[in-house]
Amino acid sequence: MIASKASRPFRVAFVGNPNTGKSSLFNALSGLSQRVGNYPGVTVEKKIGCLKIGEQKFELIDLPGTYSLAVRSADELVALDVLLGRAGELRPDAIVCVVDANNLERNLFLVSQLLHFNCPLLIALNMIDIARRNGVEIDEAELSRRLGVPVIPVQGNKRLGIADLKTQILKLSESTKIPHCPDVYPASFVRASQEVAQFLPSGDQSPNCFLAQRLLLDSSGELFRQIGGGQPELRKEVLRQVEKLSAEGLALSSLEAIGRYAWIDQLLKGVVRRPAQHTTVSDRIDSVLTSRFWGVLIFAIVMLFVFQAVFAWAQPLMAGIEFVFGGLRSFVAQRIPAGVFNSLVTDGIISGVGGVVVFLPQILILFFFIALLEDCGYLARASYLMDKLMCRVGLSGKSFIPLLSSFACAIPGIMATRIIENRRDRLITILVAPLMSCSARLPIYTLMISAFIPGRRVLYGLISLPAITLFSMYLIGILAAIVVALVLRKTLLRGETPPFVMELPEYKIPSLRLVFARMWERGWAFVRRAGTVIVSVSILIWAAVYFPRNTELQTMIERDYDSRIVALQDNVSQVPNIESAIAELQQLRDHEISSAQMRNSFLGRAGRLVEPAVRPLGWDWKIASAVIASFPAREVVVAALSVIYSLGADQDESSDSLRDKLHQATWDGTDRPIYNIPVSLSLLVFFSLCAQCVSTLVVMRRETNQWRWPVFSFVYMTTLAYLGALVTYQVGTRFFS
Amino acid sequence: MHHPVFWDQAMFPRKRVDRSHGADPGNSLSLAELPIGRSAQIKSIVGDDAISGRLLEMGLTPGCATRVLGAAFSGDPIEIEIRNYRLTLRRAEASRVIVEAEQGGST
Repeated sequence: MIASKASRPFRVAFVGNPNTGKSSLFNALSGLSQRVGNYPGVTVEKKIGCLKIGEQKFELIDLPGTYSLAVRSADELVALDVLLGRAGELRPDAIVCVVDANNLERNLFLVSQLLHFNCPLLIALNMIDIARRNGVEIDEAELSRRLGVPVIPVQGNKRLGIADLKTQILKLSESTKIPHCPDVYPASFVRASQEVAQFLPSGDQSPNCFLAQRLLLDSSGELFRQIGGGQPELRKEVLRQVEKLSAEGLALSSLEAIGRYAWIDQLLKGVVRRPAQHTTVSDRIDSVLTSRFWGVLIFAIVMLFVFQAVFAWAQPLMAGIEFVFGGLRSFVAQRIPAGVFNSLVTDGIISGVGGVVVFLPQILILFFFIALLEDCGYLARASYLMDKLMCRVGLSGKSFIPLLSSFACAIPGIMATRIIENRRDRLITILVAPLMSCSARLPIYTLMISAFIPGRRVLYGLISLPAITLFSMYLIGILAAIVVALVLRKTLLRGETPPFVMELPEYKIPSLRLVFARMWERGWAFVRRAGTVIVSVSILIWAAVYFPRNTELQTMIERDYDSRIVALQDNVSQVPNIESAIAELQQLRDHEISSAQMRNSFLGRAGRLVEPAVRPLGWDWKIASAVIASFPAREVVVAALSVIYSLGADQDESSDSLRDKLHQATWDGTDRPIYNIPVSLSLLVFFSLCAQCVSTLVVMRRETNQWRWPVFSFVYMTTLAYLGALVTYQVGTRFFS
Repeated sequence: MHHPVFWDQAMFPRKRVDRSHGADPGNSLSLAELPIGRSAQIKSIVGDDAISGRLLEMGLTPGCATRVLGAAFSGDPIEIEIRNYRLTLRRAEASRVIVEAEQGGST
């Protein structure tokens, strides 16, 4: 350990229970020098920070917050792998365990496990101020003496005690003092674990047989499945020992907890003093916030406020971003000669980058609130209040906020599923989140409803048909999400209901520094890791719209218009406003060219190719092309329709000319109108259920660390959207005719 | 990770242990049945799976005192105090915790 000092940084693993302020301490120590990645095959984020104290370099590894090192899923194995130096990870040289001073007993459970690792350990006694406020007195020196490890009181949120913590970490790197491993198991169990350890491959020989003990205690066999594949000898030995111990009357299921908590009770005797029967500030706040009436009312207000913020406050910022990128686009367009390169830069790159940045306001606002609610302790209460409701869908209360925010945008919603630690619940939430009608669906909803749904009032004038239609679109998404969640739970993502046993942490004043740090971290993660893919896909779609170019067609249209302009100029006397008439013709010419090119492009051809498949939905190839063109982002469909109907891409959903064009559109070669109520309803249903958003799919890939989930989502949602549109059109045609 | 070996339930024989012995049948009930405000002492945790494991890790060990603080508006989940902190769990999970109510506990 000492010899390698100069050659490589000293590795320190950061471990702790959830809600102990571990991240804020980690941020305080490593500042901005953090690298974020994923552990292979799991959805756990890998965060590594750097620190330099004097000449000594440190590498800080932030492990996911956990109450115990028992492994019940692949995600929970990560902490054990790192601490043991398994699966390609390097063993840490020391461990810092962040402990909530207010809640020593339960936090020491993890500490007692960490003492098995033959690794220098340090305890950061965090939130010492809240403990003191609650009248909890801790004799830190005595605790440190009894444990044989340094115990440093700190206040991570106010950055107090950080210097002391750094000094102690430096000391840790200079000594080789291994803390004493506590005796929590009966002798027969220790003997059995030593025998099992013989069967572990030498690389897995854990200090004090920790891994062997875990194998003996793990009744589900999950740990064995994760690490022991292809080791029948090991399995046989574990089973033999388990049977032997059970025959001796040892209850393996409760052995560890009873042993460790008995050790903790002994350890804390005379070290911690608490006031008898004391109602803390937090207790008083909680008695209101979790009460049946006020609790629910306040919850509803808080959620409405957050939703409103993500939904409405982000709008001006998004409009600003669109304005800036629009300005940039026309600025660049004028300075590059017209042609492929111009189109690539303006329609491909600038639009693509703009399409990434435009999501930032919603992501930042949502994570501001989530970090705020989490840090002050309310997030756990929100899950507590909403659990029963979400339980009916087979999820837990923790899925509520991600799903609610998906009504504004599925991207921050999916990113917010990190608060759900159960992998299956998290996956289901991620997979159904895009079914919530997001704000990007509003343009197509508005266009179709305002163009084709009569503004009649029904139900004694209480509500209008357009309002009912809009509401139905939201309802369809919710109903589909419920069905999909229930079906996934019964099929692909089967298994026992995960426990909903959750700590309700003390309320505290949130640290704005931490809130902003987390907000920044999420926003940056989106731009860096999803942004590149989104821009690439935007460029691909641009190419499909741009190529192949048909110059002949273009010259033909140009020649036609040129002759009309010449004809105008010949009759100057009869045309009152010659300049504007010519300008109008030139604009018409450009729109017609882009429309003709689009028909001829790969995209237009694709639209014609799929026309037979979408005929039963009441669509022609133009609608099909617009739907394909809106694959990167569903709101693009309005602009795509405008281009197809030769209006120029700058039309929006409230434009009268686009509505008129839709009303005038007819099937090729006939005067039968394309758009009627069933067709517009089928389009609406399609867009409420489809997965037409590359950014969502890319974020899904990033959050699940696998491509198969976004692919699955796209396939199931597109199927659902197709079937929904089919039924709508077929039923609608019979109903309206 | 594909393992040819399966670690099936049959390999771990689950003995049905009568856990009620010794307890006064009149006072012994599950944590889910304990009225709000009442204190109790934990007797045992039923089962040997992820739920019982989590309950034990969180400090619900035999002999430990606990109290029901409240319930969400639909009556589920419930909120308890254990080892000087607050914990929420569903009624289904609380029914795994066998407790002995303290006589005339505080209200």
